[in-house]
Amino acid sequence: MHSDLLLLIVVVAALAFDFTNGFHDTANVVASSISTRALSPSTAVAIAALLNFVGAFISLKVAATVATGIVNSAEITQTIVFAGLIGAIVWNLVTWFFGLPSSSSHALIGGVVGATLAAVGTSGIQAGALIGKVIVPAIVAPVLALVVAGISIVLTYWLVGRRRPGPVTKGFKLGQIASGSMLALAHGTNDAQKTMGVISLALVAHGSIKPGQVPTWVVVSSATAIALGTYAGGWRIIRTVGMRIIKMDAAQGFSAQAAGAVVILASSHFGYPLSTTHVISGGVVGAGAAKRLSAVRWGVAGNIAFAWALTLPAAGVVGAAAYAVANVFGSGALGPLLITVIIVGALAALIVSRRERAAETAQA
Amino acid sequence: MIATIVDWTTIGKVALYSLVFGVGVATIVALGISSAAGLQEAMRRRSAAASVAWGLVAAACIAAACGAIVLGVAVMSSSKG
Repeated sequence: MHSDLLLLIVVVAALAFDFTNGFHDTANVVASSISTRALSPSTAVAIAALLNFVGAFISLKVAATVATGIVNSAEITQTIVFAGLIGAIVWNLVTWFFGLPSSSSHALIGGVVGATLAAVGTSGIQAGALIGKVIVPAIVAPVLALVVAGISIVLTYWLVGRRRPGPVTKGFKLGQIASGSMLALAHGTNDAQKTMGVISLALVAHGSIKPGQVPTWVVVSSATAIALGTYAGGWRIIRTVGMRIIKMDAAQGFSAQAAGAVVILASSHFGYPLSTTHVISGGVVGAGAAKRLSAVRWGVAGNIAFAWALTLPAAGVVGAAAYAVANVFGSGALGPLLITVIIVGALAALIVSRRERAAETAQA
Repeated sequence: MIATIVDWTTIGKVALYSLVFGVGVATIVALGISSAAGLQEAMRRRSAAASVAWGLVAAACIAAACGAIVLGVAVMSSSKG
């Protein structure tokens, strides 16, 4: 009974994380299209939500990496999975509050690793896989997107340089609809799977499934949660990615999105749980820097890089703390239930305070 | 130690595919847009030969870009772990 209630809490927390992932990472998918006016904000967000939903059904390879490749699933309990999710949710909300496009994927992995370290020590972590499948690809992928977008924009400007700007801009805006759609599909494929992996971990710990299995209801619910989160949209981060890193033209937006989509697709194909945030941010910086180094607002890019470096350890610390608090109340559902109530209360207070501040600003 | 932990061959493949397809697709789309703009200018000049030439290049680029999208979806769906 306690185990079933705990499983329910973990699944709800996982879907809440998935919602924040869609909410937080909407910026990756739609920011470029919105800032170049290729699509209206509402249309861009609706297309992204739909394609995130579809993308979640396409592959399960990343889910398998998250469920079996980073921590030893035999040593994982539902409380550990719950604490890891809390680490990820808290970090996602903090970075959303400050408008920083950090990685939901790394927040999730950091949270689960931190909670596992607190619960069972280093024996619970597959350190080699963590370095080889998460940390190194996390460093390589944004650099790769930067290089691909940089080369692409140089060739693009060379090819269209002598043409009249009107038809060219119109063409790239159409191209952005396609590249943005592919990015949304790739995002759904890569990111929804992380939640599927985590719910699968909890189901393995509960004894409901064997390691490596992903039930259909997990796929459907994860796809729905990320799509709803995407539709809700994270406008603060959209502003940072779409307008604050560089002032983008349609060709740059297309190059950044195409580079991001291709890198994410290639990585998902080989089972690397990448951060779409970092990849698209790398693409945006590459598309800006290749035109002119001073076109990039390096201070904003630096803040993103700082949040990037901080994500794994910060989410890990919150995950470990959440496990320590939950463990005080034993291995049952009471600890996770109390933490859930505290998090929901804090979130409600945050939303109310933001609304009050917005109302004061509007009055002033 | 890192050299033994990290599967550099696979990461190399990711880098190679990303570079080839990323730059390739962007170039094809840019060429298609440039050709479509060329087609507009040729039609305004009423130059039939140039219109046909630019039109063919633009159509080929659009077909190649659509092919790349189909290939991308196929690659994603072939990743069943």
